[in-house]
Amino acid sequence: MEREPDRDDAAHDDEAHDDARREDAAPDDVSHHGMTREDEDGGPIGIFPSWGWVYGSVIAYTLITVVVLYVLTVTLNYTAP
Amino acid sequence: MTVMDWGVFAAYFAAVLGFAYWQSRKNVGVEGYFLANRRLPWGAIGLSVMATQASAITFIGTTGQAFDSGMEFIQVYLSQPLVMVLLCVLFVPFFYRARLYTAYEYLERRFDSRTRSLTAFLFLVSRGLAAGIVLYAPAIVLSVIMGWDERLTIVIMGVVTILYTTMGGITAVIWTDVVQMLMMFGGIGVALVILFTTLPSGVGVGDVVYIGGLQEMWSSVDLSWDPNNTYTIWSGMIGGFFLALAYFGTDQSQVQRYLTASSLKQSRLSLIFNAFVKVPMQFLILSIGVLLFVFYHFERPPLVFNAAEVAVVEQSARAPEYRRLDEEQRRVHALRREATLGLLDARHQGRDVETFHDRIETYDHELRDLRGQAKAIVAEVRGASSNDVNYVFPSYLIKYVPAGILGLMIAVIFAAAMSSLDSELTALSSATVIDFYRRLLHPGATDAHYLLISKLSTLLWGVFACGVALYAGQLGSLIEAVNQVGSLFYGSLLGVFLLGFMIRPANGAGAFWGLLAGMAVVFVVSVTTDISWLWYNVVGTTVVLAVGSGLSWATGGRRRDGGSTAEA
Repeated sequence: MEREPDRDDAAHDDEAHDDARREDAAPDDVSHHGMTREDEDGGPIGIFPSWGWVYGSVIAYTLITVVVLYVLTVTLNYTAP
Repeated sequence: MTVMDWGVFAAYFAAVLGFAYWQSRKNVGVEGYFLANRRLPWGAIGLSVMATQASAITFIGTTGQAFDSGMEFIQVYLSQPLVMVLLCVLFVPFFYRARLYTAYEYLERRFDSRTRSLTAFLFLVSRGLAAGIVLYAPAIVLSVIMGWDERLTIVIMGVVTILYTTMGGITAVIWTDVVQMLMMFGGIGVALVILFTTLPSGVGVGDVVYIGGLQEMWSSVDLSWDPNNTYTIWSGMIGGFFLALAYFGTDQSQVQRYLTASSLKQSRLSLIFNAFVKVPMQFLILSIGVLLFVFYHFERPPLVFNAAEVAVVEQSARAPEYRRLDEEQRRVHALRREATLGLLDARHQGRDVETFHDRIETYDHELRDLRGQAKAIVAEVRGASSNDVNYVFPSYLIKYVPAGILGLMIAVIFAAAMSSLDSELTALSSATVIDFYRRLLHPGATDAHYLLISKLSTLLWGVFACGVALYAGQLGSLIEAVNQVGSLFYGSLLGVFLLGFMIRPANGAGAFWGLLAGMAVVFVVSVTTDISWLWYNVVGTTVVLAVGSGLSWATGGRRRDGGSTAEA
C-alpha cells in the first residue's frame, strides 16, 4: 500500500528542510507561501525589541522561577532541625 | 447537588454547544475543519494548548498529589518555558512554513512514507485509547463522589463533546477550549477562596503557610541527583524537558493547535504565552492540595478518600482491622487539631511554640502511618494499589462547598475533560484522513468528499473513545499497558523529528530503523532498571539520534537526484 521513497521524496526532503531558509530570503512582502513580513524574525514583538529578547526573557523567567521556588523550599521549611 | 447546581451545569453545556456552533460557521473546507483556515489569534491558540494538556485528572489528581506529597510535582513542569523557546526556534518554523496538516506529514517529506505511516499509526493507537481514558478517569471519580451512574456520566460528556467537535471542527474546539480554560482559571480561583473561607476564623494566610511548612509541603525543589526519583530538579529539568518537547513538538493534538495560527508570529506567541502562564497555573493547582492538607488539620478527613475502595474493604475479612485504624485516626486527628489550634494561639501571642510544634510533627507522622496502613489493606483486598489521590479534592467539594459553587466546580471538571477530549478527536481525525485515507485509500477526491470523511472520522473516533471509556473498567491492565507503551515511544518519536531538523545527512533508513531501535532500547531500560519514566524520553531520543545518524552514514546518507551521495 505504501509508496517507496523515490526522487519526488528527495525533492520533498529538500523542500521541507529548506523552507525556513527560503522564507527569510523572500524578496517581496508576500512570500511564496502567502506569509507577510510579520512572520520574519526582525522587528519588535510587543514590548520586546526582537524575538531574541522574548526568548531571553523566557530563559531568565525560568531561572528566576527555579531560584524563587528554591528560596521558598528553604525558607518555608518549619520542620524541627 | 441542588437545583441551582444543576442550573449552572446545564447553562455550561448550553453555552459550549451554542458557542461552538456560532464559531464553526466560518470554517471552509478540510483546511477550515482541521486548521481553521489558518486564521486564529495567538491568545485563543495559547489557551487551547493549555486546555488540551490540562485534563480532568490533571485538575483533580494533581491537587490530591499535593495533599499527599506537597509541591514537589511542580518540578516536572519547570522546563516547559524552555521547551516553548525551542519549539518557537526549531519546530514551529518547519511545521508552519511547510503548510502541513499533520506533524507526521513532515516525516514523509523529509524521510519516507513508512516512517510517516509508523509514527501516525503509533499516534492513532495511543491517542485513540488515551481519549477513552480522558473520559473514563473523571467519570469513575464523579460516580463514586456524586453517586452518579458512571456510564451515564461518560455518555453525557462524550456525546456533547462529539457533537460540537464533529459539527465545528478545530474552530469550535479551540474556541470552546478558550471558554473551558477560562472556567478552569475561575475554578482554581474559586477553590482557593472557598478553602480559605472554610478554615476556622482567625486562621490567616501566614498560618496556612506556617502549618504547611511544618510538614515540608512547600518544598518544591529537590537538588539531589537520583535518576530513580521522578521529583528532583534534574529529572524535571532534563527528563521533563524531553517529555514536554516530545508532547508539544510531535503530538498531533498539540501541533495541530499552532498550525491554525494566522501567521508564524501568532503561532510562536501562543507558545510564549504558555511559557509564562503554565508554571504559575500549576503552582496554584498544587497550592489547592496544600491548602486541603492544612484544612484537614481542622476537619477530620476520611482515612481513605475513595469510598468505593472503603466499601470493598468493609465487606472483606480485613474490615475489623480497617475500623480499628479508622478509630485510631479519629483519636490522633483530634489531638493534632487541638495542638494546631494551640500552636496558632501561641504564635499569635508571641509565646513559645516548640512544644506544640513537636507534638504536631509526631501526630502528622502517626496519621501518615495510619493512612499508609489503611491503603495497604485496600491494596491487599483489591489486589491493586489504592489510587485515592484523585478523590481528595472532589470529596472536599461535595462536603464543604456551598450550593451553586459545587455545580460550577463539577462543570470545571467536565470542562477539563472535554477540552482534552475534543482536541484528541480532531487530532485523531486529521491523522486518519490526511495521513492514511487521503494519501493511501482514496487520493484525488474532492474537498467536499474529504470534509465529509473528516466529520465521519471525528464521529467514529468519538464513539470509539466512548466505547473504550465504557469498557475501561474491564480492560484493567490493558490500559496500564497502553500507557506504558506510550511512554516507551514518545522519546523515540522526538528523536526522529530532531533527526530530520538537525542532522541534514539523515535518511529514511536511518529514521525508520533508528525509531525502532529507540523504542526497543527504552523497552529494555524500562524492564531492567529502576530509573524514572521521565528519563525514558532522554534515552529514546538519544538512541534514535545516534542510531539514525550512524545508519544514515552507513547507507550513503541522504539521497538526492536518485543518487546515494551524502548531502554536503
